[in-house]
Amino acid sequence: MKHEEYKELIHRELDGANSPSESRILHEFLSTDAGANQFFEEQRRLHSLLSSVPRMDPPENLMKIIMNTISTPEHHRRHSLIQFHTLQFTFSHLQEVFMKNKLIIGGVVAAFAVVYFAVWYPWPSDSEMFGTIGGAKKYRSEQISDKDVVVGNQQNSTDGTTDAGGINPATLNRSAEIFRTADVQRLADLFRSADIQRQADIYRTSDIQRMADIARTADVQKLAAIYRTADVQKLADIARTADVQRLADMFRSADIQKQAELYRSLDIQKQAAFLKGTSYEKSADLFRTADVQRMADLFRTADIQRLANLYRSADIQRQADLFRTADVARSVEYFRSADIQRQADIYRTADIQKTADMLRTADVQRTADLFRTADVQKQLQILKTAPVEKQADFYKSMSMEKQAELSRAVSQIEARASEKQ
Amino acid sequence: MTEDLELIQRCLSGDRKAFEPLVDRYQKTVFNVALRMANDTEDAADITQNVFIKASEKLKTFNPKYKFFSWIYRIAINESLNFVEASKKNERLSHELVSDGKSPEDVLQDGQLAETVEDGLMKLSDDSRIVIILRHFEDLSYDEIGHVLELPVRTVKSRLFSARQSLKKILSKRLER
Repeated sequence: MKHEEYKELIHRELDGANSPSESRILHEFLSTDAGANQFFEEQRRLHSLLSSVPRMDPPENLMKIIMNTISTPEHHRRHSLIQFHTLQFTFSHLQEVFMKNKLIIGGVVAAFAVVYFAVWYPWPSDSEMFGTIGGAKKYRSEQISDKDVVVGNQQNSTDGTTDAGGINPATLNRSAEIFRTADVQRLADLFRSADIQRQADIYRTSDIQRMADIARTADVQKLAAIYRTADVQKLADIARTADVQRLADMFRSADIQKQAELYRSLDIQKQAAFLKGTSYEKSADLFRTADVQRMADLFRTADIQRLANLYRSADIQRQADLFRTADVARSVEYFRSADIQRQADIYRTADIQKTADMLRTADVQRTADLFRTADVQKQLQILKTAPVEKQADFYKSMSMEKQAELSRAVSQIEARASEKQ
Repeated sequence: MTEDLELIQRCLSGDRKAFEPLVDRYQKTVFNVALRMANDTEDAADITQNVFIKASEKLKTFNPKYKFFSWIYRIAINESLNFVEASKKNERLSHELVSDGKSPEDVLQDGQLAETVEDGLMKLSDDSRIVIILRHFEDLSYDEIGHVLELPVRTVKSRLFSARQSLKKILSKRLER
């Protein structure tokens, strides 16, 4: 038997593709040819090794997220005589409206990261803060005793005055004070070396409101300096293990200005790595419970791909609620300041049905207002990047009344654009 | 169990809920293909999500004379390839993976083996990696691989045998044990 012939038979044999007669021929040959037998054994071991690799289960909530993304109801599609007249500008407008919502979601993602930095992360590192402060104080000739370095339940054994959340109020107050006065470099050093499990323990047993209160009193510049030096992988690990509901609670009570300052001061790579380390379902859960204004404030720094994915998995009612309650002037301002490429990228990845659903529930006047104040050039740029079928589907899903309103707004814009030219 | 085709027809007639059993049926398969291609659980989850979104959006283009699983595999592979191309990152699988129904000892042992194999897989070309994944991890026949990749069976076999040779060389130390 030729070299290539027996090799193919061996591969087929191990794949279970040989007929009984082919199998018999092969085994007869193997018993007479040492080289062929060696090849067979090598391939058998490779098969065995490959078969030892386990199949993995997808994340628990993945199916829920997928179905949430795609399970928007079918809608009756309406057609209009003015459809083609207004198509181009209408879609620019709709894109803008849509974009605004995307940007809001961006804010959620950014805000989520910021929550970690501004509220949650300092507190998991509270234990480290004590350790850090201990170091810093030592440096300043003010020693902190072991009793100050308390973690989770340890507090109960060192001080009987713990609050319901398990954190000693005096210790918290002291930590806040120390945090404001400590040496940044020492804090940063210890921050980097903190043990995740310990942070997580404290986090799980602590009082949210108190943590938020203290976070609000912290010095932004100091926090920023520390977080700039933080270890990304650790942040991501913590993000993955965190409790969503608590994050959401803290998110709602955190100081937005501080969060924004901190987030902006972070290195892009760090922001991106951090966001990437956070699971979608967690981000999506947060999104559903987050505050609209806060999300909008933070939108500009988010990662596009992540935003797009989050948007696809977001709950439509929530999106609609956000849209209805957002401040128009602010939305317009954000839209104008957003990077065109980002807008275009997000638009390309958007889910039509969801966008259409959202538009149907939106207030016409708001849509028109946004459209009128948007930059025409930017609208046109976005429009150019959108696939035609997406524009058409979107447009067709609108009510006649809304189309008419928008058409009037389009005409005004068109007239203004002509005048400028 | 309702047939894939029936579920697809229900989806196409507006019953979006009918897509859920399809996701349930194929999410693990898609996730594992994506995982072996991207070598990262979060990325694999993202890819899986994208695969089903695309499948949902393009369902009307599905040709019922083919099997749904071939179609979804093809989307999964294309999505994974797009991702790999875009990211070009070959990170090691995280240790937080959960394998189905195994003891901690098994998981540890499997984890070490898996790590070795994953290292080897990531050194293969995309084409070679895909046929190994489909044959060995998804247990597809030559014919099925041919359908998924739209290749003649002869090419599938040639590519698979060649991929095994390459992988054998890469994993030679492990195979000597």
